[in-house]
Amino acid sequence: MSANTFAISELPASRPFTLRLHEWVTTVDHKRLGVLYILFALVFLIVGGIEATIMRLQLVRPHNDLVSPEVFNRMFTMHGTTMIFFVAMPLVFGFANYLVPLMIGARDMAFPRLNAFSFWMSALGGLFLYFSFLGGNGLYGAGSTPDAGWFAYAPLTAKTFSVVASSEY
Amino acid sequence: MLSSVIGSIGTAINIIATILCMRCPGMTLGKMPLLVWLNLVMAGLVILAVSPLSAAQIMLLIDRYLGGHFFDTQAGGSAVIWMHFFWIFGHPEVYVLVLPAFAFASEIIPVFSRKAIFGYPVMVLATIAIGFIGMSVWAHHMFTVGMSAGANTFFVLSTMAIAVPTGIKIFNWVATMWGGKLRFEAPMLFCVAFLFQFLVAGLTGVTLAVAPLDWQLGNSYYVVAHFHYVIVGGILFTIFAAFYYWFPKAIGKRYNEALARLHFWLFFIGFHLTFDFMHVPGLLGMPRRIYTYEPGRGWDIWNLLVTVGVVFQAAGILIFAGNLIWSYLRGKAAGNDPWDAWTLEWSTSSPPPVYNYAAIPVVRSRRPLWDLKHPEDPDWRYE
Amino acid sequence: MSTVSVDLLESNFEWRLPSRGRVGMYCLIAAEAAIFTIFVVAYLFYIGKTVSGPKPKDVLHAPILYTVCLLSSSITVHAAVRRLVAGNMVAFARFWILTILLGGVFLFGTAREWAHLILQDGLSINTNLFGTTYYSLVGLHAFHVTMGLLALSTVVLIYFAGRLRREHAERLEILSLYWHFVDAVWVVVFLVVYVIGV
Repeated sequence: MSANTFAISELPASRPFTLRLHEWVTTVDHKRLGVLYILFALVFLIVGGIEATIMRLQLVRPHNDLVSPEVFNRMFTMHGTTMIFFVAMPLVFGFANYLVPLMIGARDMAFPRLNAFSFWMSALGGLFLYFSFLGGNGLYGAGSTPDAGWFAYAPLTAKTFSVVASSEY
Repeated sequence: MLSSVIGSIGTAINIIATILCMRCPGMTLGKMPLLVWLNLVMAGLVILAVSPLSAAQIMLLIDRYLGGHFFDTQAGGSAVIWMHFFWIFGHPEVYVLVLPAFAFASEIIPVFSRKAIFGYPVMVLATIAIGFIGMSVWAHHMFTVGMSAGANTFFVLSTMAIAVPTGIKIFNWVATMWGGKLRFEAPMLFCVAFLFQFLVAGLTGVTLAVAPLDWQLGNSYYVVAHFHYVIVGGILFTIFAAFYYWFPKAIGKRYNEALARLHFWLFFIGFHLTFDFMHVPGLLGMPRRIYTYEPGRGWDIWNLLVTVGVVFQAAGILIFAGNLIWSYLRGKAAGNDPWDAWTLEWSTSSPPPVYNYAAIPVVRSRRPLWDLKHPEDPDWRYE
Repeated sequence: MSTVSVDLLESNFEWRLPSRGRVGMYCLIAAEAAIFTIFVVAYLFYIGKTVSGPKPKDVLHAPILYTVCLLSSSITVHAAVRRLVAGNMVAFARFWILTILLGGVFLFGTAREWAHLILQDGLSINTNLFGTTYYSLVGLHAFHVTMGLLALSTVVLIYFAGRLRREHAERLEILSLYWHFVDAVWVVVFLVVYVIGV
């Protein structure tokens, strides 16, 4: 008997961790997906904040040398991309997912499985982009993350000027 | 990125289909909560504006990996066209982010002023206007690129035009508070700060809309200050408000109000230290995206103050995170309707059951719970 | 608990909302239309700007026959759905399979044209600006035709498994909306590439 057929309050109080994890990973319930979006966003809020802090510490006084120019470029690119695509948008979608069905008197969103698919696609996107930290010259050189600004103007992002393979991550 | 764009479009389709096809009986479009209206327009913008981003990204991929020439000026392509395509996405994107912020303010301010939102129909019309006009302002990010005077003028005018419906919304929120019985718990504190900060952000935006001013200030820290004022001072503040407002509903426990107010004041001080003063180096000519600068240009003290503000903001965020975790583990039970609010979600248990509503509700006005709680004076008599 | 204002439900209270499949499909079509618009705008903007290599009027020949095939497939898919609504399963299957065949002929035609362009005329996506815009626009459309054909073929499989019923007509009509969209895009692409751009 699937655990999903009960209201949450009716489930036995202690379920094994693997079962709970499975419920969260396979959920199509708009409330849970909303919470997942928001938690995802909060994690990246901290990460984006660290990127901002690194930039501000570098700029606290003239001729500072906390980070190299290359790393600084990667920082402002990642800070912008992260905050827009992996903090603000998931927060927006998370709250929308949670609240809209409740506020219109509905039981779930119109396409619950599409909802789950969309969340995991977004999460995958975040994972892909942050995976790029592990490339290039290693983490303290900020890997091979994009460094051409979050709006990625051509021709800086064209192959001739940007050999690093992450601009379209 | 393409992966997360697909996710965004899927969510937007879901939101629109849900709102148009699954409203409970009696909830006509004119009776939906404003949050729902704002999310509807937001989803429409995602569908129309985020898709161009994926098109541009595909073009970039073709250029980079298949030897294409979309942005290759040597072959007859154009780099400026990337800017157009990007900003055709980029500007509506910020409306995608800000409309939900407006949504939170539109739900929270009435409840904490004990008054229904002022001018619901105008708020809806202003939202739709913002959606439309927002799709026509993109090249105000490109004033320095060398477009013709006619093109520049068009975008100057459309950018200024969008200030009108936005200003109307600010007026309506203030009018909602006017004469109301104000309660300044954490959600309201963040919303009041939002009102003031978003207004200032809008004003700096209008200064940037004046193309000749933008030629001087574009790509400087003035622009950085402006958009952080909108995104942090506007959007993030309302997101904090929304967190505190709906946390009791979603988790079923009350958060710690004292910690929340501490979060507010720390973050407020830090935000203003950082982003108020950030305008100054911009006006003094400091460009964006430079990793260091010369001393003696008059930028030093401002950069220092800006960095100090970060400490306060970080402290605020840590307290916020701590509050959420602590309240999740140890908070007192919240009850169904801790704020005495009026929209449907407050009629469910906290947290709501998986199925939301055992019986689909039927509504007759914009504030169904007010009707329930005040059967002698229901809203549907006046709407 | 969680009920609100039940007292006022009159028995003749009619509450009709659009079907979510239809709304979802229209939204998907809007998003795809936005993507195609960007590629079409790029194509139009770049007409005449290619600096070297084969030019459109040298190598392009309007694929009239294949266009007719694709556009007729819209008629056949519509006919198929009508037959299903009427309950005529065999006629439905005939028209539906005919649609797939016509779509397949169109794709075959595109492949033939591309083989000729690449092997005989030396035009590929990286040759020049015209090559880039041509292959990306026509290719994007062909990709959507392929996706549509896959969806249509899935329906055929369901039919042959004996699982297709008359009640599925609404869903198939929504699917056919996607196919009509793909056809409409081809009309625009054809005009832009083979009429205006030459």
